[in-house]
Formats: sequence, C-alpha cells, structure tokens
Amino acid sequence: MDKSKLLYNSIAVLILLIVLSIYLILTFKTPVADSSLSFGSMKVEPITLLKVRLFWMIPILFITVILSIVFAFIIEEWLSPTNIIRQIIEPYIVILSGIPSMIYGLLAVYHVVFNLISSSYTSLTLILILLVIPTTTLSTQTAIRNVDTSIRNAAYAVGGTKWQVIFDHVLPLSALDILSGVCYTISRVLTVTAVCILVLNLLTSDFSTLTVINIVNNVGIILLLVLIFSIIASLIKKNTG
Amino acid sequence: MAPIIEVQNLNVWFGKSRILKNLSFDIEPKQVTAFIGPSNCGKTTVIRSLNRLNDLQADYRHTGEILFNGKELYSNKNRASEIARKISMVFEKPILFKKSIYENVAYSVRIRGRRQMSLINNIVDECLMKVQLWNDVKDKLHTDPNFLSIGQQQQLCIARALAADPEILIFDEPCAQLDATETPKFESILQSLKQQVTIIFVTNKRRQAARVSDVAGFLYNGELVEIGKTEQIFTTPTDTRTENYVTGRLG
Amino acid sequence: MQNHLDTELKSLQYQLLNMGGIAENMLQDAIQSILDRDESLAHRVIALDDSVDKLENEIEAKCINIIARYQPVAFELRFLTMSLRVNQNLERLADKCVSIARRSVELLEYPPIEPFVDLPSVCLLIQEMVKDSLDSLVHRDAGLAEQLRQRDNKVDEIYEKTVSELCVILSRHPENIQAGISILLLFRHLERVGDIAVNIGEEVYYLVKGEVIRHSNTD
Repeated sequence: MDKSKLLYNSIAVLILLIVLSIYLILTFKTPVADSSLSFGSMKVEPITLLKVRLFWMIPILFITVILSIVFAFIIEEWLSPTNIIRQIIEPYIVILSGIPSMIYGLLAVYHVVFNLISSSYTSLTLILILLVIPTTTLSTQTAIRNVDTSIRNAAYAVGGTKWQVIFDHVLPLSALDILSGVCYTISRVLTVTAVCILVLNLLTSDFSTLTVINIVNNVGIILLLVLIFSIIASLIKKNTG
Repeated sequence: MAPIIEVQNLNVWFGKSRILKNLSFDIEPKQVTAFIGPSNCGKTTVIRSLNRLNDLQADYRHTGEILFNGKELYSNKNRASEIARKISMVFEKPILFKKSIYENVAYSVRIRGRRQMSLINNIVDECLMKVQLWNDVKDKLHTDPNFLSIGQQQQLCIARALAADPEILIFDEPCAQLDATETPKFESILQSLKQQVTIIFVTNKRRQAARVSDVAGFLYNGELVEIGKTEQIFTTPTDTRTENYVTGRLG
Repeated sequence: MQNHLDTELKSLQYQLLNMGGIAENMLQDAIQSILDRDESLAHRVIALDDSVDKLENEIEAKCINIIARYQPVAFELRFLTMSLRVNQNLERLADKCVSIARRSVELLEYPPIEPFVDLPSVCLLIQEMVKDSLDSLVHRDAGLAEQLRQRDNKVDEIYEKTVSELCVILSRHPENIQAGISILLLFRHLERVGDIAVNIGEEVYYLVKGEVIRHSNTD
C-alpha cells in the first residue's frame, strides 16, 4: 500500500519535472521581449491589455472552481482510496497545490509578461486552471473527509441513497470549508495576478513615472482583495484538521 | 415461522485479513437475537454485512450466502439503500443530523419519497411514542436535539430508524454510551419493539444480552462458536469457550 | 426499573401458587378419599402426580433461567432460592398426597376400623397448616410462617401417641397387622405433610426476614 503510494508520487514528480523542462526548452527559443516592449501596431497600453485579459478570466475562474469541486466529490465519493485512478491522480493534486503561489507568479511572468503578444487567452486559461484546480480540489477533499463518517453511516442506515447522503448531509456540512478553500484559492490567483501586473508595470514605466502611487494604483486594490479573501478563508474555516 | 435471515458459510475479508470464518446461522422473525463476544471478535462486521453497510468499505469482500426473506441479499436486484432501509441500524454513539428533533425523524420518511405532511406528522408522532420519548419532547419538536441527554438522543436515533419502516432493526452496542440509569429504559424499549420488528443487537455486556435477548450467539476470533436460545447459552453452553465467556473468565 | 424481571418474577410466583393450589387440592382429595372410603377420588389424586412433576420441572427451569439471565440480588435472589426450595417441597407434598391416596386404596380392602384417634381432626390440622403455609407465601407473612413450627410439634405429639396406641391395639389383634401397617404409614405420611408445611413456612420466613431458621430450636 505504502510502496505503491511512493511509486505513484515519484512518478508524478518525475512527470511534472519533465513537463516543466520541456516547456522551458520549447519556450526558451522564442524571442523574449526586451524591457522597452515596442508594441508597434498595437495601440493599447500593455498593462491595460493585460488587465482586460485578466478581467475576462473571471468567468473562467468561476467555472474552474465549480468543476474542481465536482471533481473533488467524484474522487472522494466514487473512487475508493485503493482505486488505481485515484492513486495516480492524487499525487499531482497534492504536489501542484503544495507549490507556493510565488512560483506560479514567476511562471506567469515568464509566460505572460515576456510573451505578452504571443500569449493568448488559452495560455492564460491554462495557468489559471493549473493554479485553481489542485488547491480547490484538495481543500474540498479535506472538507468532505472532515464530515463525520458516522453521519454518513447514519444516513445510509435509514435508507439514504448516495445522492441523498451527499446533498442532504455531506454538502451542507462541508459547505463552509469548501467555501473557505475557494476563498483561499481566489486569494492565490489574485496574488499571481498582482505579481504579473507589478512586473509589467515595472518594465513598461519610465523611471520618472514609477512612483508608489502608480504601483498602488495598479496593484493595490488586488493586494487588498488578496488580504480580504485570505481573512475570509481563515474565518469561515471550521476545522483546522 | 421461516427465518427472516439465513446465513450460510459467510466469510468476510478486509483487505488480506479474514474477519469472519464460516458463519452459518438463521435469524427468526420478531425475536431479539444478540451477538456477544469480546471486542474485535467480528460482531460489528457480522451485522454490517447484514445491512450492506460494509459495502462502503473499499476493501470489503465476502463469500457465502446471505438470504433475506429467502432472497439473496447481495444480488444486484437489491439496491443497497433499499436494504439499508429494511434492515435499519442504530449505532453505538447517538448520531443526530444537525436538524430539529422533528426533522431528524421525518428525514427517514422523506427520503422514501413520502411528502404528505399529515403522513409525516403521524409517523413522527408514532415513532417518538414507540421509543417512549414523546412525553419528553412533544413541546419541543422543532428545537435542536442537543439539549437531550445521551440516552434520549439514542432514543431519538431509534425513532429515526423506526421511521424508515424497517423489518429488522440492528443495534450496535447501543448502551455503550448510556449510564446505568438509562440502560433499563432502553431495555424495556427493546422489549416493546420486539412485537413489531426483528431485533439484532451486538453487545459486549453479557449480562445485558442475557436479560434482553431470546437467541444469543457467541463470536470469538471471527468464529460463531455457539448460537442458541439465550437460556441454553447462559445455563448449559456446549462449548468450553462459551462457558468461559459467559462466566467471565474470557474477555 | 427492571420491568422485565418483575414480570418474570410475577409469573413465577403465579406458577408457584398454582402448583401450591393443585397440591392443596390433592391433599384435600386424598384425605377425603380416606374419610369417605372413596376409591375414585384416590385414583384421581394418583393420576395427578405426573402433571405435578411436570410443573415442578417447569418451575425449576424457569428459576434457573431467571437466575442465569437476570442475575438477581437481594430480595429477588431470596425469592428465587425460596421458589426453588418451595417448588421441591410442593412436589414432595404432592408425592405424599399420592402415597396417602395409595394407603386409602389399600385400606378399602379392610373393614373400617374403629377410629382410635380422631382422624378427621388431625387431617384438618394438617390441611390448615398447608393452607397457612401457602397463605404466608402469598402475603409474605413471616409471623404466620414461624407459627407453623409450633403447630407441627402438636402434630408430632399426636403421631407418637397414635403409634404407641396402634402398638397396643395390634398386639391385642395381631390378625389386623396389614391394616395396622397401612394406618401407621398413613399417619407417617400425614406427619411428613406437616413437616413439609413447616419447611415452606421456613422458606417464606427466609424470604421475608433473610434469616435461616431451619435448624434453630422452636422454643
């Protein structure tokens, strides 16, 4: 049991490392935009462009969160801990959600800022998904697991079906924890966004206009949101386990 | 009367460990059957095999035959939830949903798809009366059940199980959490329920099994050492292990 | 609040008293068969023996079951041990009644003997003792139970007097020896019935007071 877990974990680490290096090798050759960033035909300011694109990420964020909650329920309720699919999937979730958001920030900066023109909505979406799904899934899984098994048993024992047990008991009892996980994820996403905007801001501004006010103007509100969401997340979390 | 449950050569494994070894027994309707034995002898596994609650365990596996009313219990025709309703269960700790007293009992009716308020009201009242809780809670039906004592909470759990309209009611060490004054009340409830449902209960208090049951089975290390009339088990057991257990020399 | 044990004990007491009632009726019939020289009555008593034996077994099994299942203590334990012993005594009482009925059948072969003692009054004394012993059980009356021992002394006196008188009569009329032995046995049985009543009384005393007076002196 433990041996196979170790095996799946190491496979996951290997695969992730391979994927990361392939990505870096592939993107390394593309011309990196220099700090002056001449946009030629584009009449929009790069920072506005980024902001618009990020704004359009909000519905995607919403959908991704819902999907990962559903995903977590499928894993917890329908796949037993010994299920091979679950054993293969789980290490990725754990590893990806364990990576600090700063790393994702760097990845985003590398991908989005330096390749801003070439980066489409697709690549932004990919990073968002990479950022949201593991953390939300993991926190939702923990929330579901924290629901007392005896409650489940009691509901089954009076003749509840799986769906009834999930909707009548598991979901209401874990709702706050799930929400807390979602808030935490959102604050992570916002941190990455702030990092992106800050870097782009530093790169595109003249040193004369680079003032505290300018930076605050661009990322202040996002940092405030990060703070608010993480406070909410820790406040509504029921169990620390 | 034909036995309501027939078990033939039941073997149960969890992963690689074999919990039950070749169990064969019948359970007669409208009687109290008690399984006694030291802890970790497989008592709980037996009863959880009977209402398919073990299905929830991932590495559960069994061989042998369990017939419920003459039909195979584990066949695909039976939905596990339907079996769990007909063979309802009350657990060691009183487990209440985070709802009002009324809603706790009504839940078992609602999940059966019955929605008429009058029907639900009737069933709730009737079940609370059957477990002798009606007088204590009739004015507080819509309050949170947390103010009830442990014993009363357990009574509420029995009422909830009854509201599912079971044919068999299973108790898993129902008195482990109760104090001495609440146990006799529980036992009298058990006796009064005997007329309507078949009762199977598991206990490691041999004296309680002796008082309450009609048939007693002694489990030891996953084997059903002996099963028979309670009088016989407690006066003239045929196996020395049973003798040692009922006299208190074992476990 | 041991409801179930209470009902079990009540039904046990009911069974015990039922058996007591049967035994009392048997005694009544056996005595009547002697006094009236009624053979059919005697045979009826003899026929009842089996059913009483069955009852005894039933009650004994019930007592053992109750002890095994409820492990009673204090009054309930005393009640059960008393029930076991009273049960045994009642069965013996029924046996004595059968023996009396047999003597009564034997005596029919001989002409009625001149009553040298007041047989009806002795019988009445014995019957009352049995009745009182059962009453003391019903009412849990230790006083009545204790009193039985004094009354038994009187029965013993009469018995001894009868034996000596019988010796005198038989030495004068040795041809009546067979009838004489039957009469002797009859009195012996009656005296034993008295003892059984006393035993029951002692058990009731134990039930109520918790003291064993079986081997203490009556004085």
